[in-house]
Amino acid sequence: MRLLRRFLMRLSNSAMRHRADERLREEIAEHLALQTEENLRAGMSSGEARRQAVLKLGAAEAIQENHHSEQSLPLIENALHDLRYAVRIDPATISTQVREQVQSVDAELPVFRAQTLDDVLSASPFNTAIFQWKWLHYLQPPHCCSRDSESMEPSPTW
Amino acid sequence: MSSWTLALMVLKTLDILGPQHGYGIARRIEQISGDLLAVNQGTLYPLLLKLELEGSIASQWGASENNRRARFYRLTAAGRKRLQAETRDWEQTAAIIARFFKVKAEDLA
Repeated sequence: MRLLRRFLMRLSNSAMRHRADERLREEIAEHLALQTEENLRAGMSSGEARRQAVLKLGAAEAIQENHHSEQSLPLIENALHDLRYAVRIDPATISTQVREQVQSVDAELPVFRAQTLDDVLSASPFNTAIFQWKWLHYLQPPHCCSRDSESMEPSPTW
Repeated sequence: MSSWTLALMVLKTLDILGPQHGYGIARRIEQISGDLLAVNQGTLYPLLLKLELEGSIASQWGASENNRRARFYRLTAAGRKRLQAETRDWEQTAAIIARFFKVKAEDLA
């Protein structure tokens, strides 16, 4: 029961985050002003009085963040934030993004189509060596080959 | 100082002195402790908000002694009830701890 009450309290705090943050900010500002006034009465210069007041209070942003993480449900807030962002996306933006994606894929397609089986096979260094040897053998003019050129015929097992 | 201890001090200060603004509460706590305690002021405001959300204190805007706008906190009936319960618990705990500090081996023989 206590856990449920705490959960509901945190949920309502998450819903009213802006108001609580604003109030905390105002209070911190008031506190700094009062502390600065007291420091001025103690004889400090205006700059030093303000500096000492800030030092005594601590990091205002960290105070707000700590308070927020303790008193609300950051996980749910983040999920809601993401959901809001998703809903806010303009359909025109989505269609532009899809079109860009399609165009980028289309641009890659000719490269893919240009690849023949030989191109694929020749990607392997071992196969490249075999093909080069075969083609050189068949394309060479007869006068450049030795007399026993028949022996240069690649083995059918290859 | 734990936040529970600070909460107890805040409630007691408001019980004794009536409505106070945050800065006044911090100064009074330091004053009551004979300046032995320096309140971590950064933890005070989140604590005040928490106590208010729990219903132990209530607040409203008002004018400070320097005519500055400040939020004044006061103890609620629930807060007074809580203070009484917390005071009882504290006194019990303090009495138990005091017994532990005083005990000697021969007392247990």
